[in-house]
Amino acid sequence: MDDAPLEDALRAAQAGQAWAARVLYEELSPRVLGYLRAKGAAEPEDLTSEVFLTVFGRIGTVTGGMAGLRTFAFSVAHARLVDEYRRRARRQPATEYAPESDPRTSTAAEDDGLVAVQTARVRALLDTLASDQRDVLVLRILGDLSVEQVAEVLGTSEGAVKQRQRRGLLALRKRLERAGITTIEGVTL
Amino acid sequence: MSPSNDDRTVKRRRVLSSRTADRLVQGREVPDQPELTQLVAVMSALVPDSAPVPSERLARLLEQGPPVKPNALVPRIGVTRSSRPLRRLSLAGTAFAGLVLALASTNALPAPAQQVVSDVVEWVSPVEIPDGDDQPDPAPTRTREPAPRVVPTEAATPSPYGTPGPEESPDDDVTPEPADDGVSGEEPAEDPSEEPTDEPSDEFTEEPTDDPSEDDASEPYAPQSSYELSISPRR
Repeated sequence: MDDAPLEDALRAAQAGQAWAARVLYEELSPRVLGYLRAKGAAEPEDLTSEVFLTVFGRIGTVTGGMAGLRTFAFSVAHARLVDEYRRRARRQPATEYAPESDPRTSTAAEDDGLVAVQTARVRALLDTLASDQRDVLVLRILGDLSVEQVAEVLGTSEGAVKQRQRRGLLALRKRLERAGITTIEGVTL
Repeated sequence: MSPSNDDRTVKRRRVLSSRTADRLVQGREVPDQPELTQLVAVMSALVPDSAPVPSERLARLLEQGPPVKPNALVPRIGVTRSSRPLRRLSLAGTAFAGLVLALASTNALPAPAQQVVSDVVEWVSPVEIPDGDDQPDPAPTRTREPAPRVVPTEAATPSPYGTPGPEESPDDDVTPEPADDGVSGEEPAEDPSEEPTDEPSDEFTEEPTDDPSEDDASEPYAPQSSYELSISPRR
């Protein structure tokens, strides 16, 4: 993807241009929202707005162009998600995730239903992974981040990221084969 | 017996290299891994096509534009270039101060510098560093040999420090000097016209503290009352 127009928008946003901030929000927020949904945020839309309030509040400090901005946005999203997990852990004891009892599968107003169900099924699959493998796969696939960017977001090495994504995919394949899952809500696997 | 094509296919599917995993997560199709290719496609489809509706605060920010701070564009990572000379200068100063202190602690500086460093260190800290006057004198002016002494009379000269004063001359005709002048008590004054001074000399200030046990052994402490009794006939 050609990032040249986005690089211009980033420079303009750093100079305080409102149109540039909207361009960047349109570009980055869907992936951040998908990441937060896949990771099980309670209110992913609200959390996405909070993430971008932080990102635009400190956009002047961002270096490295659009790649740096992507890394920064997902770093903020990851940190907010960790905060939410901690808040939840303090409020109530953790319970096993059950896709059939997830109200978002039937009440998600922003989705056409199929996406919500797919989200729940994918989340159920991802929950079988170790947390570090899940983080890497979600950031790589939904965040569209490179190995280097994922390593920076998670504060680990590139070698560890490569190893986790490979082991995560192997674990997913094994899980699919054992459960005999060949489709996810209409999508043939 | 060579393995069949099916066996080779199954074996290839079992293996998942790092490069293949990289291709999969990038959304590329990998024929040997149809399940994972499809799973990644389903996961990628979870990204919505349009941006979510922003909250009120974010919508206001998107209308007004991000805040611009004057120095926001300057990355502040690590030590800035302009502060490096100052840092070097401070490091050099610290090293120099350490060297001076090390030399001063061994009394290796010239006397004036040693005195200055000693004063400064003793002023800012309880640590004592020898000053220039503490250097050993190669030709001592005063020997440690005790002068011939007589048995002290009761007329011991009171010491301002509460210790026994210098010995009194055996010559009774000699007027006892004030206790402040420790030298004059041992030897007759060579110049009678010289006025006794109240300022303690170096010999006096050092003698009682050099070896008090010596004086204690030869001269018992004379209390103030005995002094008054001994000089009363002179009046």
